[in-house]
Amino acid sequence: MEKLLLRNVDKENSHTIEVYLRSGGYQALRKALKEMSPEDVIEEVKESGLRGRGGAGFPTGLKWEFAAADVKEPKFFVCNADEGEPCTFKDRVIIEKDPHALIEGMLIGAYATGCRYGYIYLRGEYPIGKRILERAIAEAYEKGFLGENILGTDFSFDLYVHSGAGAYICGEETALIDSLEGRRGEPRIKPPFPVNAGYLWQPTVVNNVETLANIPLIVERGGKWYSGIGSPDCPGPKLYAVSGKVKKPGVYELPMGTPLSEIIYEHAGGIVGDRKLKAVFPGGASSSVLTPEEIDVPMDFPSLAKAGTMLGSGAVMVLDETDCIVKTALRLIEFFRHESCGKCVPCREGTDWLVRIVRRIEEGQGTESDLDVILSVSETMENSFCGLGMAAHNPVASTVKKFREEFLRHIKLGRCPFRSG
Amino acid sequence: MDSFRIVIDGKECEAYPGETVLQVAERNGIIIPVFCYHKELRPEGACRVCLVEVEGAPRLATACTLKAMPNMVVRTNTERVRKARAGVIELILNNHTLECPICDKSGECELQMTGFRHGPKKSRYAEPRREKDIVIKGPLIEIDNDRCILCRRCIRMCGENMGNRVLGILKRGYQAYISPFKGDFVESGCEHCGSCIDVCPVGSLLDRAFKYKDRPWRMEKTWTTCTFCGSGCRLEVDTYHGRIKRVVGRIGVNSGHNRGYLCVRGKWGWDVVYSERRLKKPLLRDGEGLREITLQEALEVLKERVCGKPVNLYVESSLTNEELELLSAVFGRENVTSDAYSFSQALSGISEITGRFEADKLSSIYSADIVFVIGDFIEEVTPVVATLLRLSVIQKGKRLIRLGTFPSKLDSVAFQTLLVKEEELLDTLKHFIMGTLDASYTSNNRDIDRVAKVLRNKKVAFVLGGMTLFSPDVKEVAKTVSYLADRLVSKSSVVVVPPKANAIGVAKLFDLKKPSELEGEVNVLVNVELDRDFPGTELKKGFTVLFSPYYTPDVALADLIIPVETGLEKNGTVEGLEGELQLRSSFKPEYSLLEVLRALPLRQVDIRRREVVLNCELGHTKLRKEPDQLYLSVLLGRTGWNSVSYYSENVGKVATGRVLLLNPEDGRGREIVTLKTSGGELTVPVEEKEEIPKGRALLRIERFTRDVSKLLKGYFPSVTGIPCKLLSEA
Repeated sequence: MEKLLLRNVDKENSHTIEVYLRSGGYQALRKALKEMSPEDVIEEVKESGLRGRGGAGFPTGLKWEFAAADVKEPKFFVCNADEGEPCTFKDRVIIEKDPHALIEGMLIGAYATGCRYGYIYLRGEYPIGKRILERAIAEAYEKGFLGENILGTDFSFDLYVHSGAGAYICGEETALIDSLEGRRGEPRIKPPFPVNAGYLWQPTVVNNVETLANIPLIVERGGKWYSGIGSPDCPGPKLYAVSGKVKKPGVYELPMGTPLSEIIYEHAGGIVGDRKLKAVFPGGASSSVLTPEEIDVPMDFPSLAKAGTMLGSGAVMVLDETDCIVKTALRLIEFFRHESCGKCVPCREGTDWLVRIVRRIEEGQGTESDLDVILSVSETMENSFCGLGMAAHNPVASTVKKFREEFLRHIKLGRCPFRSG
Repeated sequence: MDSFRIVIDGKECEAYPGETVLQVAERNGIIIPVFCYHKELRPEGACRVCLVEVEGAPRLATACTLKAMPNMVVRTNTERVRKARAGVIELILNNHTLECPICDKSGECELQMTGFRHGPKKSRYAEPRREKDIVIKGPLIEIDNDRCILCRRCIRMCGENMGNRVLGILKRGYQAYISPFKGDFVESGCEHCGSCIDVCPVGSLLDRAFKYKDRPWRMEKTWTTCTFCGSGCRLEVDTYHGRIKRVVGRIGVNSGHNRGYLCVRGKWGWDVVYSERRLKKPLLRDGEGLREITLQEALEVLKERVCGKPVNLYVESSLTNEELELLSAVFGRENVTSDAYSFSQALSGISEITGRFEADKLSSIYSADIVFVIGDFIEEVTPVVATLLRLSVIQKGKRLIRLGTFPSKLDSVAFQTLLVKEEELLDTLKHFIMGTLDASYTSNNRDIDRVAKVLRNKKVAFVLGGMTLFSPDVKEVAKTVSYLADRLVSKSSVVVVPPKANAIGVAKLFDLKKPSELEGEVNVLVNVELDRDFPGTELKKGFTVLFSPYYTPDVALADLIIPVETGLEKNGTVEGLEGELQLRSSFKPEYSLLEVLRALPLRQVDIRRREVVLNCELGHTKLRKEPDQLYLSVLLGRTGWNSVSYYSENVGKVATGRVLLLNPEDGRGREIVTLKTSGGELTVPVEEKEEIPKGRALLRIERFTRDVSKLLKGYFPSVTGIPCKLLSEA
């Protein structure tokens, strides 16, 4: 398949504006500003069927339409580059290797929605990305792609990079906005949604890095062409970050809906040492686990939802037969306990309780009734305030459901069977 | 607004646009348990206890954040809801300390009650309890984080409603805890209003003065009115066996106009009743010293030396109406002075325009479009009124405009703040009169023109208060404001915030004179502290009787001293911001002013009706100073107002010292200066602050002492706008 999102990353100095311009960069922006009205751009994006790549899969065109319809001024365009989930590293490739595609995507989005100012909320642990982005923005200002009256039109746009302070919760859009405002990053009550009342209670569009990298392609080649790629109901190219016990871990660009088995065995080269596959987390740390029998599922939003899990950010974590599932669940829930902001009870108390129970089981001190408690606490956690809490129990609850035998083995043996000695 | 119907638990309920499901349910008697929700606070949606099932929605929703929509069908008591609720309460209880037997909140704890009603019946928690063991102790407030359920009511109360932003959350997730931002209450700028304690659903935020003192369920609860300032707050006094244990405001339950909000004086000043400085026995000056006498002897002396003679009556204006009536009947009302003199000047200014010797009620701010505050330091003199003004912006969406000289806490919520020099205050108001009459008028000041434009054709509630009531221009300011209100839409109102609890009553009852104008032979001082209430004046010669609850410095000037009760021990009424306010007490003090007065013969009092002269001519400022002089303002701070911090041990813990605040250009790096007025000199430490306007010297004091009083010699009743000089070297 032709590389679309990753078309520039292998070129030397791909992060500079010269390389980007030489490969046809900022042509989509020129086309949008000179030949299309903001409504045309939104129409094009809607036709493409692009869905947000941050995890929730909300149709981007629709979000833009809501923001464009709001009359409050000024509006803000925010790029969510707070990629903080374990084993997720797809946005980093774009940020570090093709920052101008991101900037161009933001410019087109800001033009379509009427936003005057933009922020890239960058993960605090991406200092190199920050330097690259800041340099790219400076270059774009120099060439007249940012600032006042871009390309001689009435459209003006200023862009800033804001570095986060290392909180996973700030990937949640309202918490991100809180943090951007200089407050403690905690999710806000929705509604009102950010498109109507976001940054400084003004209309704010929040889009993921990968989503925005798709925009120049759509404008350049048309929404109709785009909608022909991959799954019909959520089309487009997708970056899959494959990690774990595979021979060739890395970021793979494949059409939406590529079967999980194909990603693991064909593109990532199969399991290390040709061992047996044990389990896969198809959408990052907060997704429910899949067993080897279930991996023929197409990797897109609706198919994975039907399989009882989610695409999330598209981070595929592969475990082989030598991995302890209880230990895995413990590590993942420990991450969520650490990253829970503490605002709502189910997430704050639930993650801690789950960590304590799973740790006890891993240490061989568990009882069978603990498993029922885990499932019941998970159910309570479904009522959390934001997506973090609602999904935090997934790695534990799904492993208990699908690998109950292994949990029971820990309980009966009184130790972890995978631990030597 | 058109109402619509929603169905909650099968019951058809009327709902209004913008209302939440919880509000509709509450009004219709359907109980939904809550922790983080509080009537007075912005909804947070954090505790997840108020979960309800909405037909058509896949997930349970929190009733506190869910806006009611037409034809919504809500269920609050299904198996699914009960299970989810119990699950959440179980999570809260898992690591909650079981300190109920010694917890001050036990008995009125919301976690106890909600846990009892909706919680799980059995614990499944097999882990050792997680202890945070973080206790933060301030002088009056203590946070016990082990008991905290992180509902964040205190944070929203402190940051949003009170505007202080002292409390916050440190760390995150399961380690999160509540703390003042700088780790210490005083350093973080805590005002000790006690509102955080009031809204805490559990025993995490504690009143240190009440800690381990008594049990909530066995105390006798009496609702009375606080008499420490003119806010006239309604509060609950909890007593056990005739001894006050604590005072609570009960925010959200309180039916008074203060809605339960209190300040440090109201919340903690109750221990003035048990002050060591209380007078225990009547005293008589005999030869060189004072000797204790019986009440009977004191009455004899009174009858012999005072009754029938022309009396100079000095009344402090937190006395009740009943006491004032009887005082005037016993001592006459020809020569009366009071600390409400300045306030009565404001009322007489208003009367020259309206023909009525009165101001409007504070509640008129709720029916106005714009609240126009004129005055400095309302938040120091009458803190709760400032809170109510702030809340009218935050909760009711009023536009607040403030005109004053010094920056104020209210400015953070103000639509526009106009800071002008004191001597220009009147001119600024006149610009508004012109600007609202004539759309083309310009004052050459953009801000003033902008405000004038906003005021045009709007219903405005003018609120005059704070230190401006003690300005030499007070009468003219009040008159000009009244004139302005008269020129606007007819329903505009003028509220004058009384500095003391019954200032309105005193001003209305007596035709007040200045102390220098008194013509009587004997002096009767009631509740008065001369330096505090009549700074810059001297007592007239003659036999002097002092009625006072405390051993004040004036005891040295008096010949006969008779102890009386304090405000919390009284029954009666005062004229407050919202009309007549009730004082109730559940115990009987040893000496009562009313009882003493009842034993004395009444005299013939001819009651003259107050003559109100209409005079629409607006005057000019009386403020005059030499070019090299500054204007001095003496501010009795929040804690020291009415000498509360002097007599109350609790409030004394958070009292501050005496300091002169200067603009750096006036201060010029000096650490200590000598302040000189026509009356005297005072050497004080200096603190330089950018916010203080140039040419102003703000003397912040905790208590009016002789030396401060001397500075103001001849300026009564003003404590601001006093010309002064700074002497370079101390």
